[in-house]
Amino acid sequence: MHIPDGFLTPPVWLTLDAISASAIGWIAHRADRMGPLESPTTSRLPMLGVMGAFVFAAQMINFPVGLGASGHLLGGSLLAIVLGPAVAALVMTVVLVLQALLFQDGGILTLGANVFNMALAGVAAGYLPTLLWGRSTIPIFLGGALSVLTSGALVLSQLNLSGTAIAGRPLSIALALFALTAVLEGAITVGAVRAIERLSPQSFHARSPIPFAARAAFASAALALAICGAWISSTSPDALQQFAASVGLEAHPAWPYAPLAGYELGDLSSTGLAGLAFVFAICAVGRKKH
Amino acid sequence: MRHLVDQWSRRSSPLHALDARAKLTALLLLLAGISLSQPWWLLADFAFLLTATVVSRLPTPALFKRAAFVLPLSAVIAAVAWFSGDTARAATLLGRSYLSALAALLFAATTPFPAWTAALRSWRIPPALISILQFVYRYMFVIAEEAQTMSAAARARGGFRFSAAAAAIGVLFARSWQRAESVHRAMIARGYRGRFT
Repeated sequence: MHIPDGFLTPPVWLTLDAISASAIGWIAHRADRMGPLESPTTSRLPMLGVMGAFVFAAQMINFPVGLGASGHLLGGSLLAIVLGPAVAALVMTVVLVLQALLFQDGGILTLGANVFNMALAGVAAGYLPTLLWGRSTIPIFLGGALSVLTSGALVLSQLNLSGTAIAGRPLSIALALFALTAVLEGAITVGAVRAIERLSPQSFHARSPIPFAARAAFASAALALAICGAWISSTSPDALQQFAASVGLEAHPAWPYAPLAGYELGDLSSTGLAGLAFVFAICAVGRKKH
Repeated sequence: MRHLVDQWSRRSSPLHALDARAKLTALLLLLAGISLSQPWWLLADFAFLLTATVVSRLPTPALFKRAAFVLPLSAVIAAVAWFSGDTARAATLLGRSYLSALAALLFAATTPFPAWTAALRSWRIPPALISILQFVYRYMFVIAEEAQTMSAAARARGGFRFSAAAAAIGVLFARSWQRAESVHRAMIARGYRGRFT
């Protein structure tokens, strides 16, 4: 799900680079203020760095999923649940930087998009359920699954905004793959969190009462998702029709999905995003009643 | 265990000798150019990258092969454009992503890690982030080796079951945590005051 360079148009990657750079800058600054990251004795920097290395290594452990296939952990939600969302966002950002530069996994200009999808939105979505309902099995599973679904929906919408319309059967396949990955990530996250509880219980961050800033961040994330969904559903049918017209799809009976293309894309991805926004909204409301 | 790029970046050539900030700026400009390039311009981009590869005195075939790591994913996305009937667009997407990967790889393969973190620092990237970057880079091969050992041991026993793999992640985490603590103590003992100079 790392978007390579070349697939996003300049307005899309520029916007996401700006958003991600300021968000990560703010998180780093804030983490510094709460307990100096670089103080000699209480510094958390070595821990954060080794945790980033842990993510790389954990991704190498294969989980059998049947039929000889295997999958692996992605890690954003696991880190968020164990170490807290701010730390997880910083560590995942660094992991993404190294994956882009050393392993050709994700682009350089699209780094902002990948950071936004996985280190910011993915981590936030992965953290939310356990923040609200504690560290029991279902919230942990939901966290893992939601982080994948959020990142996936964002990748699809960014590709759509860049004119690579994914509709019809490819969209169904993509959504099915995301759903499978989400279930797997949820299951692995549950198993890994339980194992870490047994082996290294002191590693879990103290869950403080939710500060205002965090609630504001989640609220704006929900809002952003809602706006994003609305925007795509309003723009992409037109874009798609234009796209179809420009390549002569209307006069192309061999294309089996053309009659539906204009609708399916807008409907499915906006429904998905609206659903996610709904989950965020429910979570925000549910929290206040606590 | 060291990464291939790390071996390459320690060689010497005019490209290796260039200031990392200049190379990083050139890389960003080049990538922006590629993301706007039309098919015929991509040929010019390719010619430029090929020249740069020759100047860098790196093994050209190996470099081109490594950059191809990006192709499977790009091909999937390009295939979607292809099946919707837009062959030219599919080819452009594929070309852009491959050349971008090649450009990024060429930068990483001619710039030692300390040089490009120094470049990032001079660009006012938060120092905490750069320190984390340096720690991850220092320890990722160490911990990855541990993960490989665990996987090999599991294969010898007949492969991971799901629960065993989850437990392996837990073990890996606990070991990493302990390592972080002892590394930190050792660094303080050697005079670490929160920043690499």
